[in-house]
Amino acid sequence: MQTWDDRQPIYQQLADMLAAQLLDGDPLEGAAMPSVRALAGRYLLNPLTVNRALKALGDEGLLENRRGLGLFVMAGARERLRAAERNRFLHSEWPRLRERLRRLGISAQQLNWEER
Amino acid sequence: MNKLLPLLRREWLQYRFGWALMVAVPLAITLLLLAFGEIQIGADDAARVGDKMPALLAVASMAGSAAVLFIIASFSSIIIVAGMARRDHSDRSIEFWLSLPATHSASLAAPLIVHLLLVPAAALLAGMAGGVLVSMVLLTRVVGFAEWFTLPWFDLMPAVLALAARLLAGLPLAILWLSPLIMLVVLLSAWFRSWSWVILGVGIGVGSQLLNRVFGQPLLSDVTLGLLMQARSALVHGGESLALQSTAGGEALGQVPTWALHDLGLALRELPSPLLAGGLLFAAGCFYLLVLWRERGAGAAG
Amino acid sequence: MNAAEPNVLVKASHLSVRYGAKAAVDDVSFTIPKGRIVGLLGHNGAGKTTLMKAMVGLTQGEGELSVLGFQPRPQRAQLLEQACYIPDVAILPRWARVEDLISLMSGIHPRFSAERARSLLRRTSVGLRDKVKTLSKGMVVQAHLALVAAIDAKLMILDEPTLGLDVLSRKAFYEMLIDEWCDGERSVLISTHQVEEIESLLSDVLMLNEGKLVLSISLEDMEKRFVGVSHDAAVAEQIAAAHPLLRYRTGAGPSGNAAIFDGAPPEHVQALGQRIRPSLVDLFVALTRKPELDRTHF
Repeated sequence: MQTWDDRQPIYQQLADMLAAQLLDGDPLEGAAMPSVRALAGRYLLNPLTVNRALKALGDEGLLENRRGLGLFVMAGARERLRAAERNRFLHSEWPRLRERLRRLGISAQQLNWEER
Repeated sequence: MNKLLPLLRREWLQYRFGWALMVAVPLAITLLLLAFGEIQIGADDAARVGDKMPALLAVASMAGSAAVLFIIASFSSIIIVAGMARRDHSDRSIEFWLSLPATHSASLAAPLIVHLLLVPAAALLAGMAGGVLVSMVLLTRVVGFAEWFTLPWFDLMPAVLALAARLLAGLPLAILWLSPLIMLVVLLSAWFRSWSWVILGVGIGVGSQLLNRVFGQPLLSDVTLGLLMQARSALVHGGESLALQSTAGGEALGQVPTWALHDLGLALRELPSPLLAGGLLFAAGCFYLLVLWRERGAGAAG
Repeated sequence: MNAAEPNVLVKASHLSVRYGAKAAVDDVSFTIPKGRIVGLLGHNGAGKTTLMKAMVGLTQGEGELSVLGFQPRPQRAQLLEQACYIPDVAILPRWARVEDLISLMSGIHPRFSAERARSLLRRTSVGLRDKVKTLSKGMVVQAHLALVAAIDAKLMILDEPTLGLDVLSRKAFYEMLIDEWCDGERSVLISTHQVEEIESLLSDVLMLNEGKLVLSISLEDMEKRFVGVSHDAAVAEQIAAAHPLLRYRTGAGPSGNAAIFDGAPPEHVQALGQRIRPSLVDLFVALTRKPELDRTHF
């Protein structure tokens, strides 16, 4: 069964998980999100928690509610997510990583950028 | 009380296998004994009834089978009813029954109705039906199959049916008379389980002796004996008159229906009495206490 | 249904259940709205079973208690038609076949659906013609759950329903709970020891300690009210000085310490470590432990 960490509220962790899936294209832009019930069953969560997660994604502009049809992934959601991820990396993760590299004395030339 | 029917069905689902055995085994044993055992009919009796013997034997087989199964069923029912209060405690299913939307009184009344009334009645009828088979085997061995085949069933059946009807009608009356004793045993079994019989027997036996000898108060023994006697009468009030008639000869068969009706009338006439009224009141009181006991959780853990 | 509050399924007000001098349930007040999954937590003997029994009319209490608009004790049979109740362990009659039980419940429960029961049983390893006495304990529990889930009830009261089930069966039960029961109209009250597992399923929690209700809160509010701080051993003293509800270890090493506060602690205390989400288990320990165990926990 899914285990949730203690860093953030569960709904937030679910929202992050769903956002990561959106980034991978699951589901695609314009496609319908799985129903609250389906998600609740998949992750064994109370539907109220799932609702909060979906609302959080909606507040970030990633999902839109089409009357009578449910939640759909908004056009441009992936780009928006990628932009947010890029932002987060550049402003919090990268400085830490750069500090670490400096401490270890690794220069930019030593980073093997071409390697996959 | 529309919940009563499924509760009655519960008894059927739980005991149907045992009931089937209870009917089949005695009949099977009887048939085997008759088929392969020794049958003796006294020469005097045979002479007395003459050519009516086959008919009498047929009636006796059916009546006998019915009576035997009736008695066996009554015994088993009384044993089951005596343990009724604690019945579902050993497997803890009492908690399951308590979680169902059935009233306490329906849950308590259903087994009483089934075991005290329906089961002995059904056993009686099953005995009669099985008795036809018994009569066939008996007559075949004594006077030959042809005699059985040519029996005047049309004339016999009224007698047989009348006897059955008398017993079936008398059964609820007998239960009414016995109700205070039965309900007391059930109530006691809520605390004492199968010891309730012993306690009742000892209690009444010792108690009445004590009251009689020491206090000169025969009430307890009188009441108990009275109830038991009346119950027997409810089933067969004047058994002697029937016996007298049967020895007089085959014409007795025709008299049976009239006798049965008359006998039932006598039993019904006994009903309005302070003894019965008091007994029913006492039984109702015991039932009420049982409902209260079940309401408080029927002694289940937690 | 209570006309005044149509969305409230259960309302208890100063409810107490006494056995002799001892109060198994002591002055308890709470409401259960519709569409919730409420966890009833408490140690053994805390009063969970007694509270549930009072809710289905099997025991009498003082104070007010209204379940689905009924008075449980006098209207027990009517109440049980709209609610369903599983008492403690697997207690199906041992002599019965599963199909016997289906036929019995069809007759006794107006809201029982035999077809639904059969389809739910198909998902388990229990056969219709199996006798209860031949089933393993886990299978009896599964059968009982399937039978009860086939009742179209507004309120499900489950007393330790997963006791005796293995992980897979528990998972199947939770899935069934979400699939069949979370339609926003029904509510479930479930008492369990497996607090960690069930935390993510719950929407609300009721915590009993020695008969008293020490917490009655939705999980959403719980996250806002209780603050966890994960910190290094070095600052343990300062953390303790802020009087947390509970201090405990989250893991090995000097950084594996944590504390739970009721309400946000002062800024400088929060800055000593990292904010974490207190789990229901830890909160449960914090609110129901005996004072003398305080020292041993840390």
